[in-house]
Amino acid sequence: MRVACVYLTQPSPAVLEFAEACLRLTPQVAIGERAIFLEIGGCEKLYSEKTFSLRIQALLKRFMVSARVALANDIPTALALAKYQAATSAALCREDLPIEALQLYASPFKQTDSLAKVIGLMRALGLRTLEDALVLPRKQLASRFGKEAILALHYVDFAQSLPWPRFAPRAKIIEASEVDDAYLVRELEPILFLLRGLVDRALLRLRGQGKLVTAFEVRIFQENYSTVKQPKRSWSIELSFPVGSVLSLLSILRDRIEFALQREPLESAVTRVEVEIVNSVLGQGRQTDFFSKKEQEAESLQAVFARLTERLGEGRAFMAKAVESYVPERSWQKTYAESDRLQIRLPLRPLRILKKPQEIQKIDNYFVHRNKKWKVSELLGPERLSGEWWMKDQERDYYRVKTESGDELWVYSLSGAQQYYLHGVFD
Amino acid sequence: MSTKAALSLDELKSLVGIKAPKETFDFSLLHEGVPKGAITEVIGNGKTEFALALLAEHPETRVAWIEESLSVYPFGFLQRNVQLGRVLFVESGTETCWSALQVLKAQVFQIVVLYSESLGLSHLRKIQLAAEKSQAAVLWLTPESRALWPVSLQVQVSRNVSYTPGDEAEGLTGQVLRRRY
Repeated sequence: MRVACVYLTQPSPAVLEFAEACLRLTPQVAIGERAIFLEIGGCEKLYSEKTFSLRIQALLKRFMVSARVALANDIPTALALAKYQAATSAALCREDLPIEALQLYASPFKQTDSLAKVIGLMRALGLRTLEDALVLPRKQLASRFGKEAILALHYVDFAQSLPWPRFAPRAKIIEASEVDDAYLVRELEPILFLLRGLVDRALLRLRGQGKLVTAFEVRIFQENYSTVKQPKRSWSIELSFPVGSVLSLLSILRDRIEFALQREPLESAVTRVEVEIVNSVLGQGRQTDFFSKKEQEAESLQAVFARLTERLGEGRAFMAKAVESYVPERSWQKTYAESDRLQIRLPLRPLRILKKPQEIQKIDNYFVHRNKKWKVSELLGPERLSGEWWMKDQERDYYRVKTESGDELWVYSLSGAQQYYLHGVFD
Repeated sequence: MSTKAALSLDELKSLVGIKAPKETFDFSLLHEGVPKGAITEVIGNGKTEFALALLAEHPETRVAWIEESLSVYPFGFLQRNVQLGRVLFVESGTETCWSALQVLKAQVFQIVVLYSESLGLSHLRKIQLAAEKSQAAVLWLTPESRALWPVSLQVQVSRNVSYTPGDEAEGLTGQVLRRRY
């Protein structure tokens, strides 16, 4: 076992959030009164202790938590090393820990003073370090210091067997930031600046659970004067693809909030900003391939999809796939996945197709449509197509019309009827 | 032309800021190739076939196809040997310029095809700068010639009337009307 202790040098409101983000580094996390413990012995193949320290420092910075980090083979020793390290400039080891560290072995998760009397007695007798206490003959402990001393040293001997309290991340992920009145925040850029930190922390917590966001909500609270009609403004954003990148989300947020504030500016200064993760999905656990950019490209592609969909609307950015149908307008479908199989062999189709076929008149050797006239130079066809019987489709006879002006039209008539319809253009 | 005049022309070009594209996509219908990092305006009958022919000759590229009102027929792509899995279709409405900038900034698409009549000078300039940065080839399909200065290459496509339907690209010819590099 190898335990890392993150000892808070100052109380912080973001401790639980930080612990949730740490789940990304190891599944075994425990929280004490002023410390967070991470079991990293099982992760030695993923990262070294040095890498771990750097990553933890980066996480601490992002959550604005001030803490010291120490590594040891058990929880109490790691806690004691983290707590007492700052007092000395030299690197501490277990034996050098002050005698007061015994209290941490007795109760590493909660601050108590159950051993205060024993420690006081030991101090009075000239014992200064933990090592001094450990070399005392055990048979004499009870008579000199009471049964508490035996228990204390028992905790030290069996520190590695200490059970870990359960830690579970909270179901809702909400990050919030209060804004000082003095800053009078009403513009887009400072709001985005605040949101950046909140989104970053929310995604870190989500990543700790191995998830990506698919829907989130942003709420802005304004000063509630009597003239303010809407003190709370909120935007719910649903993503086409799960996203794990701060930049992608921020760019979507920028578009949405900028558009909203242009139409309806804020009426008073912002007092609070919140980000809530509404929906998430399990992200695929994968390692980046150093030799190809596939994952990066896939993520960039998804980010573009999300931005385009957010701005243009659902279904306006898509890929396409062929569908087995003889009816031209049903021969393809929108999709977000790659699919290229073409099962049926057909004569060449035009590249431009009207969303709805339009009536076109055939007068002698001319086709006339909305004040436009084409003289037919060649008529190829017919190609008879019929759809699915349950859709009650009529048979269509398609013709490829080559005209003297160079345009090529794709027209059809319903079987047995004289009326023609313009369906596409070979451009 | 004197040396002094030639130098002045180069200085003017560098002042305007259009850099000469260094690379091109080889293309059987265009001897000069299609420049990367620049806008190529394509006009004439068969311009969509022309674009498809370029995509078919470069199957490794990822393509963004942006139209104000989408009228392109994806099924026709498959018949012209363009795999649909590599094409992102975007119906942009009035946001054609914005959509083009987003796909270019992503730097995932090597070819961007725009079908729009409403792109103005400022839009094209923004698109040209984004294309230069991402080194993507932008094909701008228009019904008629606009001859705006951010366009590096202007191509007139025409169909050979006597071609046999079946291999559409065979019946096309591309003629360079204007080149700015």
